[in-house]
Order: sequence, then C-alpha cells, then structure tokens
Amino acid sequence: MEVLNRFRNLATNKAIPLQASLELTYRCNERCTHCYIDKFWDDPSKVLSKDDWFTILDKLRGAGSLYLILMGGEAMLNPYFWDILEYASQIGFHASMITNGLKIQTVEVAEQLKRKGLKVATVSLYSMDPNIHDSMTTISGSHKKTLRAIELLRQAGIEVGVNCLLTERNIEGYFEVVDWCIANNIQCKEDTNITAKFNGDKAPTFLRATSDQLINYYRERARRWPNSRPTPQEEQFNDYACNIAKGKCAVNPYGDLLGCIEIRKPLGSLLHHDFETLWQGLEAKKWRSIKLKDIKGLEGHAVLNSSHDGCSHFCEHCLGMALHESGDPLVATQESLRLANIKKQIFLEGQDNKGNSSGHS
Amino acid sequence: MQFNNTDRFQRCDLPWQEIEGRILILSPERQKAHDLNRSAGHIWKILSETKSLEDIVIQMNDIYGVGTKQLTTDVCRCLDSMGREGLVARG
Repeated sequence: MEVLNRFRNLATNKAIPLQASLELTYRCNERCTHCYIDKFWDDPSKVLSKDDWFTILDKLRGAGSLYLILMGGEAMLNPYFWDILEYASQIGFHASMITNGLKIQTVEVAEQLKRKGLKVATVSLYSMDPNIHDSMTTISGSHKKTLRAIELLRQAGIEVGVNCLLTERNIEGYFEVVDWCIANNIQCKEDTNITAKFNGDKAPTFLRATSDQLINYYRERARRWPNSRPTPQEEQFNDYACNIAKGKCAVNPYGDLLGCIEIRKPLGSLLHHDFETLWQGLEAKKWRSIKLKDIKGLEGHAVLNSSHDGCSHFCEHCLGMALHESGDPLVATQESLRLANIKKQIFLEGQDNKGNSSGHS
Repeated sequence: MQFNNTDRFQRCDLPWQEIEGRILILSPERQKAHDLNRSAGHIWKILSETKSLEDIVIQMNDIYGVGTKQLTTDVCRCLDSMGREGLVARG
C-alpha cells in the first residue's frame, strides 16, 4: 500500500491520470433503485466502434494511465467488451471491472475473463438476504446469480472484491455481508454516498440510511475494528478540494473525457482531440484548481478545529455530488454535512471512551 | 552470486508505468506493487528490448559509464532481486 500511495500522490501532484474509469455503456441488466444513471440506454448515433475504443485506450495509456476500471451500466453489455478487455491487457493496463455478475454464470465465461487479462472484479452485493438484494436491484433471482458469479470468478483465479452501497433498506444487514466476505477471504468495501441521478432527479437520495442507522453502523464498525473509527482530516485551506482531473479521469460511453466520473460535463471528445489538449484545457484546469478554501458551508459542526491556515474536519465534500444535488459544486451539501456530523459524533465517542479507560486506570 | 548467466526476460504480463523517472510495477498474483529506483528502472526498460545480460550491461554503461565489470555485478544483483520478486523469468 505504501508504494501505491506514493505513486498515487505523485500522479495527483503531477496531474497524471494513473486511474482511468471507462463507462462502456449505460445499458444495464439490473434496475437498482439507488442508481445514479438516468437513462439505461445508449444513443445509437453516438456509440463507439471497437476501433474507437482501441484509440481511446491507446490515448489513456499514453497519458500515463495504468489502472483501468471497466464499468457501466453493466460493462459486459458493451458488444465489444471482450475485445476491449483483451486489448487493454495487451497494451499494459491493470484491467479491473465493476459488475453485477449477471453475465458471469458459467465456468467458461469466468475463465475467458481470466484469459483476456482481467485482474480484479468488484461485484455489487447488497445483502446476504436475497429478498433485500433483489428488492434493491429489482431483478428477481439476481442475488443468487451474483453469488454464483463471485464463486466462478474466484475459481478462475480472479481477485474478487465486494462493493456494498448502504441504504436504509440494507444497512442493518451489512455486517452479515462483511462476515461472509471475511469467511471467503474477499475484500469488502462499503459506500454511504448515494447521489442524485445525473439529470438532477433526487429519487435515489430518499433511499439514504437514516442518521440512527448510520450511527449504529459506525459504532459497530468501531467496535469490531477500533482503527476504523472516523478521524478528522487535517487539511490546509490551500489544499485541493479533490482529485478531479489530477490522478484520475473517466470516459463516458460516447468517448468524452471526464475529469471525474461524478462531473458529467465533458472536457471534450477523446476521439477528436489528443489527451493532453483536453487535459490541459481551461475546463480541466478550472476543476483542478478548486481548493478547500473555495468550498462554502464547511464551517460549524463538520469541523473539529480551525486555524488561520487550515482545519480538521470530517466532511468528504464531493464536487459532483454537490453539483447534482444543489446545482453548485462549491457548496457543501446537507448530506455531506450530515455524514460529517455523524462521523464527528463517533470520533468524539472514541475520545470519551479513551478518557474513561485512562481515568479508571 | 546466484546469477548463472542465464538470460532473463521481462515478464510482459505485469502492468507497469513510469512516473517522474520511477517505475511502478504491479504484481497482481502476489498482490504487490514494486517501486524501482532510477537505475533498476533503466534495467527494467532495457529488459523490454533484450534479455541478454551483455546487452543490458553495455546499455547501462552507456548511461552510467562506470565500467562493465562493476556494472555486471550490479546488474546481476538487480536481476536476482527482480527474479526473487517474480518480475523477470529465466529463458
């Protein structure tokens, strides 16, 4: 991790997009209630050919990208998925993908993924209760298929991770997913951020876990793994707000370069421009230059301590999330402040516990 | 010295990237990342074109100019280390 962090920091400082996410399609074979995609289809007049994708892969590799994340929608629904995966591996990418696993139901498919060079598959699993998982994907039987895919991927020798988005519906069963992953030696990651849809529709945000649920979740996590208790981020006001258009980039299904998967306004078409022209353009520079001091609304309960130069805070402000939710990327959202406040509470509980135990001793 | 003059070749299935003169190599099967310093990075890049120890030493001497005897020892040591980490294979 130390080596990777060193290179990630170097890439961020030098604005080298070490990680590139490729949205191969908006199409999907699930209809998750929390999904941020607003249209599950691709505009036929804009879809890319196989050669277009190869051109984009060449440009990303030339720009210094090493980690490639194939995603969607469901990445495997792109008609050129196999060619793209194979070519990406051939030109030296570390290829991974985010998938629901529904297209990975036979040994042959899993082994083909391995053969074509897939290194890591991150599978979306929302619960160990099939009813809850299926109610979130709205596809009956999807839980069974997702578990089957995980098993097949592992048998094929592909590293598997599980990603679990936490909503009001599934958060109380989350640690059952964690326990299952531990028992099967699978890395499990959770995500508490549910964003509005790309078109501003806030329907997914109504599925967010309640504050009580989140507090219980963080308490249980801290009880199990004390080091996972939230801690404040020490930042200078002159620090950059996030990694947008620096150490990572994304490409949408039509070949447009994005500074980040969350900010949907393209920097330009990778088919019509070289990478550097877009990456050094005004739009990219505008996003890249946003600093912590530019973010409004961080004051108050999300902050633990503040000085002239910086502050320690719990707010993970996402420019894209703010843009979709409030129309202004520079204003901290009520949601990010709510999450920050909860983390601060859990942090302070840990301080109290330390104080109490040292008092007893 | 464990090196027995058997040629080594760069494992081309390992993703790698040069950033600011340093080489990052990923070794997925070992779930490990390697950070090569400048001289090891030069050897790594030369290995993508040749697997001959003699060629590597000649090219390294063009860069560093410290003499082939010393470089042979250093290159062998580096290749041995890369071999232990599974970055190069004998061939």
